Amino acid sequence: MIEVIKLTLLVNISATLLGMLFGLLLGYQLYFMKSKIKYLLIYLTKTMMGLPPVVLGLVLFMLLKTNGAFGFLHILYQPISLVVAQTLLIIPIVSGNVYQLLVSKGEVLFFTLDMFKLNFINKIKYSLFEFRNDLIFILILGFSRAVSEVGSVMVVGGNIKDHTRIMTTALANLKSQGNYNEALIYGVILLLIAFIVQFGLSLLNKEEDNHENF
Amino acid sequence: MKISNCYLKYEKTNFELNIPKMELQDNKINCLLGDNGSGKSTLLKQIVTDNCQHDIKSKILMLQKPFIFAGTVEDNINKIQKLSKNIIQDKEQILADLMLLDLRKQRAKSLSGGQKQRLAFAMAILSDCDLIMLDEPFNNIDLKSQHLMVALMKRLDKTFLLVSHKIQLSRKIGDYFFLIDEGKLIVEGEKEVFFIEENNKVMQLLEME
Repeated sequence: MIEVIKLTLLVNISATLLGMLFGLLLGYQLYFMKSKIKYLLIYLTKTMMGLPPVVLGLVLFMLLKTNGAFGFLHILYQPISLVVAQTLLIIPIVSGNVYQLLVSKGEVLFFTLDMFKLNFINKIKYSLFEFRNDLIFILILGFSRAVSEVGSVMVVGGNIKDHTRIMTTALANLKSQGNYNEALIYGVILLLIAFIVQFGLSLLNKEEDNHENF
Repeated sequence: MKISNCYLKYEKTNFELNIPKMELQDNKINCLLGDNGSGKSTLLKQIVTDNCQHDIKSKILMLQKPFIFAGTVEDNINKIQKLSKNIIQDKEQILADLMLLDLRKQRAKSLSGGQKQRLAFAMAILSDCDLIMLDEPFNNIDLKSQHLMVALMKRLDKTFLLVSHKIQLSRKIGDYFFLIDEGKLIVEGEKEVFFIEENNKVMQLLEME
């Protein structure tokens, strides 16, 4: 069980951090984009926010299998494939929310910073700092997506014991074997992990409890 | 301060801002008056984003809904000074004048509407820019806050460009006036020549208030 918990944490945290990084880049890119396809990409991102994990798992499986487009990587049924699947699930969640955050709050900040002739990189730095509380919340959303999904990791990881088995796939497996008690233990541990991560990240958000006066 | 070639056209609404030339009085309170949608705020934004020619070295615009940074009042003040790279010597006095000294450790976003407005005003002043543009700075604030801000504007030797719907107040505190209508400057002048009966549009605005 310890190995399963360790792999779960490793996969979920890696995928959340990678998803956050790429999601941030994509969200900012969408906001600053001037191209005509901008709105098409926004609709696409928002659609992908609701992408069923099992559908992503299937597509990824077809790409990663030996004769698939990325078969040469040989990562199917490897722990890395779990990280890839969850990262791809988290990216639209992060980018969609970051884009929406910038639309609703970024305009005035960027206009203010433009008055001081800040370069693009510094503007991004300022916005990351100013919106850190919102970004922490988006990070929590990303982690929630990772910790709760089972479809894609089941398809690309195969739920191989001591290799690609994580808590959600183990839970599904135990349930199918009728081992409800152990399955329930996994469920409680998953909830605890979700609570600890959420609580830890919320501590960083010091201003959360001080509501804005409007 | 000279501003020229301020031109902008919104295709969708057919609104056109066209100010070929405008000269602000140095170290005075210049007031820009006009109806809603006449182009006052657009003009300020065009100036601050360098979308027209001018000889102003540094400028700042206090927006109608100004951005308040995260952190305390003090953090906000420090941030604006860092951004503008200017350190004003009588910072304490300015904060005292605006009754912000006691609020320094308070979280800026928890301030009341009037306090936020005073903070944004203090930040504009403390940026120490050559031109300070104020877009409706007296909206939604009590008379006391308004009085504090006006007194400070009068005390400082700065060039202001003020946009306000409060015509009587502008008339009282302003030194030089511009009237903008449908994107064009139609009248300008000092108080004595601006608020005269021959200026029908000015009189209309006064009567409406």
